[in-house]
Amino acid sequence: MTNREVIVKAENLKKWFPIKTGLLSIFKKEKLYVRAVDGISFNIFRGETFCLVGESGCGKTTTGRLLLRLLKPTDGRIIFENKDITMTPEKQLIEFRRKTSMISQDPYAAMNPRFTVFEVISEPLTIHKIGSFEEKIEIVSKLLEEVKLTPIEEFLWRFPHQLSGGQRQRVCIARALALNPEFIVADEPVSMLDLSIRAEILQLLRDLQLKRNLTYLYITHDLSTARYFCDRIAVMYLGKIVELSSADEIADNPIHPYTKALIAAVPEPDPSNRLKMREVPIKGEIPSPINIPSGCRFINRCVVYDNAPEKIKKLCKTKEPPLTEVEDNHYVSCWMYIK
Amino acid sequence: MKELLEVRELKTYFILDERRIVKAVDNVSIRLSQGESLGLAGESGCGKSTLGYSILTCIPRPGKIVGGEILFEGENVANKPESWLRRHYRWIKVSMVFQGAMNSLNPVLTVGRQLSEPLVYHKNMTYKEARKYVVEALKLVGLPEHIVDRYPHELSGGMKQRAVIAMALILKPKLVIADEPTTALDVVVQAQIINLLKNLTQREGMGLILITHDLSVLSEVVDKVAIMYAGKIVEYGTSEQIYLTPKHPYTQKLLRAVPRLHVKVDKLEFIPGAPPNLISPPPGCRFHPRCPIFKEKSNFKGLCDIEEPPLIEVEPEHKVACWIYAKR
Repeated sequence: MTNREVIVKAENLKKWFPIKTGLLSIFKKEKLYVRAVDGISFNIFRGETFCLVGESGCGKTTTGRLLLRLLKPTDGRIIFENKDITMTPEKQLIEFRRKTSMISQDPYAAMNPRFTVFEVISEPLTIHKIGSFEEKIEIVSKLLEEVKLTPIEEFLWRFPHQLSGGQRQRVCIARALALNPEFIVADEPVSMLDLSIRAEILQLLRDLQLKRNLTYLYITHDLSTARYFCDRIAVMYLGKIVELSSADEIADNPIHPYTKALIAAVPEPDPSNRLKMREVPIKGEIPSPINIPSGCRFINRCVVYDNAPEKIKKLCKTKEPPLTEVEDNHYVSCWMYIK
Repeated sequence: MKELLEVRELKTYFILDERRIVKAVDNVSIRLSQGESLGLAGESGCGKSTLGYSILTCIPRPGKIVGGEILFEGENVANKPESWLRRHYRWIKVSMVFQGAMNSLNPVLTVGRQLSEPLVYHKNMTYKEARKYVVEALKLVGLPEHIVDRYPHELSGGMKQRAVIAMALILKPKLVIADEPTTALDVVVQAQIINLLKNLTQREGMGLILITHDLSVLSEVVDKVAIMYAGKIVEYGTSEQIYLTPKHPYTQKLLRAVPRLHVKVDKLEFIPGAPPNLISPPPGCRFHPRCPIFKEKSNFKGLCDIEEPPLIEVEPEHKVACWIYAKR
């Protein structure tokens, strides 16, 4: 793994959103922030599918937007193909913009309802001033063929409302591919789709990845599809990565108490499960990202903490556990496992 | 066990105009005994929610029951007048956890006030008197008493969903229909809601119809499963029968499309094509244009694409609407 080419690198990335509590807050010394992403680092290798999983509000979408520079980070660095793009002005980002793109959760909301399929897919070409009308038709037709929306003539002039959910997502994928990107952020691309269409879209994304040597950042809350679709999984909790390893390791050998709870909560299509209650080893509810607990941020929900030795308890309370390699290529941020 | 609900050859159509009639539920029969739980599963647009609304006799316009019977404790509620339904049936005998209901709570009323409403309207209680029962219902779903005086925005998603379930339980109905109760929730909260539903059916003896497209969630809760496709039930059986020995090609394919956390699959299967338009569904078996067996084997030509398959009992309680299992 180590000698593979790194395409995207996040270094201690942070995004804090200030909260406006009212006019008086101007005079207050202390400002309040939503710490959506609070210092995360990872590498994404070329050609792999890297997954961010976590509950809603854990900062996974914000991370995706940061990596695409749709948001400016508060702190930290983003390195894309060995170039630091953290603070690059927008005008010099044109090449970066061509090399990256995004597929969003709701394909209907992601399209202008008054655009035809041709206009939707060719818009990136228009913006980047590529091709005459005839050339654009040709490019769009090829893309439609790639995402298997055939016969092409039938789809080219349709409007989004005339398409089914799966077809809409295919159009969005075609648009994402229009500028021949290398890195695509896919934010819950199948969570709104039906089961059988879901499998079909994932297969399409996989085929495209092989054909075009694409790199995906796959963002989801669904661990089952993450395991099926991704090479490596990073589990996020309150703006931090708590565990990072291969998809198989995360599913079969979770180490961090939070990952263990997530894994235990995933339902399986097995009828014998209805005869027993599902035990999820976690307490309470996710705290607000405004007042994150000091020390380990999982502390108030952790069941391991309750039975931990005093020495470790003290660490949990005072110091944030760093993401540490505890097994081969298996990174965990929990004091119980850090030697 | 006492029969609680029997739906006989129900037809619920949406009449858009003279030419366009959407046959959302077409000749569907189901049975449910007291304290039993039934799952309705299928892709979006297969009519599972419409079937739920039909049982509640609360079908959005222009939907209408055009045929069949809904027998609740032996009484046909499909042809009862509105006033009777309101006074004796809806929410009293059958209630529903609507899809996305947790986001439809009234933001300017406290949770307690909203939960009291059925008691005030149906049992002529004052809001003060109702409080006791509201607290009881909240306890049943695992919420502390102080929630009564909270507003919806003060609750988390899981708590709101619990409150909505408490609302459905407030008049102690015999049957609760839950439409996608866990879809918008995170896995940890989803597991808690699943446990709650299990508890209610297994310990409190509540009848449950769980409507969802998520086959994993379904298997965690219900005793019996009906798989719907294009307005019809294509397979019906106990959980074990459906999940372990599915018979209908659609059910088999659907189950193979479920990604699993603890089983490594290289390639998930999918069903090519899309569900049919319910205004003019294909003749014969509605699944035949997408059916792998119809495509492979020539001896079904002239049968599946012309004649509709009946529900065939392949083993006790296990019924399949597929010509493969017909004795000819």
